[in-house]
Amino acid sequence: MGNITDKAVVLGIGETEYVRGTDKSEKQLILEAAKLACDDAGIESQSVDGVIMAVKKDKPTNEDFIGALGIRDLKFHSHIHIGGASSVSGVMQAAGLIAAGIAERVIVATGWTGYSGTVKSDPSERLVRMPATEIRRDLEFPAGLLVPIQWYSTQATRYFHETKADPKGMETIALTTREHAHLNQNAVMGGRPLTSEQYRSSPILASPFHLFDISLQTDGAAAVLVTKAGITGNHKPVYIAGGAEGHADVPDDITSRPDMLHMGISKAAPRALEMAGVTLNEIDFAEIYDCFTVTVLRQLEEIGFCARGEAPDFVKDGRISLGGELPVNTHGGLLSQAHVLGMNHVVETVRQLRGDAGKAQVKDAHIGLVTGYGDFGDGSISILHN
Amino acid sequence: MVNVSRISRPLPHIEENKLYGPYFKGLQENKLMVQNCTECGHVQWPPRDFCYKCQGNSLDWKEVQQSGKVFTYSIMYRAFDPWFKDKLPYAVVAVELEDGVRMLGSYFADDVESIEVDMPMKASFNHENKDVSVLTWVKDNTK
Repeated sequence: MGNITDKAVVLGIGETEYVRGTDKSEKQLILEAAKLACDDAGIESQSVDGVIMAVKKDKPTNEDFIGALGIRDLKFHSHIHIGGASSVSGVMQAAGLIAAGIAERVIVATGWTGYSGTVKSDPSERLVRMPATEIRRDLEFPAGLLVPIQWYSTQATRYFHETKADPKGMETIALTTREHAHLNQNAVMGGRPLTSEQYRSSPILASPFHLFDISLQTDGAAAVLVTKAGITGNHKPVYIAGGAEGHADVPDDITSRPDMLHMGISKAAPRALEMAGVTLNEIDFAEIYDCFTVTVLRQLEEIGFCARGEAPDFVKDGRISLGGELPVNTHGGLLSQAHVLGMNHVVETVRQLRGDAGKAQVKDAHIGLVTGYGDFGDGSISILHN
Repeated sequence: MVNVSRISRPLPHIEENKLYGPYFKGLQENKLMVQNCTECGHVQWPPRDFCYKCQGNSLDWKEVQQSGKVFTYSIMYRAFDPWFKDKLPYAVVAVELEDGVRMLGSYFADDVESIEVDMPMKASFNHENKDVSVLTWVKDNTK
């Protein structure tokens, strides 16, 4: 067990409505989610003393949070810039701060207008907050490798070549996740069926990725309030047992990575499990960052649920569906709920452990695992329990 | 004469990137240049300020072979930059050269969908203007 185990809890969760089309700014949405998390916890927002912004840009700032939440004494703030790994990493930072006695009520928030915000086609705009500008601008862009879909399609090609894994695993992820979205009132793709036929006939954007292997572009924000264990609120606390962040070797270049299948979570997962003092067979459900279907397969393997190349077999026959052995992405994920940079995965983990997941509730859920995945392979993982 | 191609290819910003200078110059001369650590001998690609292996900062350059095998690729059916629109479908290919160096380039050809891992490829140099050249890959039919 680690030094921070069970020292911090998630007491509040907040989500805006997830939509495709909004007049609100990213700043407004993120601040709203933060306020909702305080309200949900039953904690006065003025008493928040830490703010961790797991956002794509540098806004909102800590001053924006102070103003919007009426924070009286902010003792810590940070921005985390590891893309979709930032949310879970932020939760772990909060747990560490609390265990160290630096702060007691920490908001971790993110969100973006991925749909309504201008999706820039100007390559210089794409470089905002992207690591290793030179690699992107001067090697990848001239080669026609411009966006995450394309980076990860090259990684997927190598994965299927090296391991002889069955590409059908990607379809299983897409369809299972969509089934789960139908159980969620706040899922953009809820009520919109996805059949195997539709999946297979959808266009290939970058081989081997079909349209439905790719996460959504949506507008919305989510936040959690992490507090010192013992602070009471509206809900039973969900304890943070352990977690970790990890970075791939090399961290900023997928195609030159000596082992192209290596990921940050390959390092982070064993650390997190050891800290939490749990083994994988004790995990009741997992919310796995799903920017692409293949990214779920790969993380299941690197975490150690199965060996490399075996995830397509691991996920089949309903094993990752609600009611299966290891339900995965019970909220619909980035693929079918909304792309909220993985904070929706954290919120869903908490909801499951509260027993508040409604139709998507995993029976007897006691230990949940949640991951983040960002940029060129940064990984984060947290293990929570009730 | 009227310039009908108003959409330009994304090109490296050679002025802003002194670190890659010898690589850019190499492309102009139809050569592939990579970093070489004078302290530990590590051959490094892409270029970095320090040796990734020994953290030394005494990095030299050496020329590498211009042929290798496809390490990975992806065939693009949608353009995310307007210049690539009329090139669809095209492939982005990472070719592995000697010393484990993998270099990225596009592959434009009618048979793009026949591309496979381990296929032999060789470098081709597109001289876009007097200062800037871009690496692309073509099939190496001599292998």
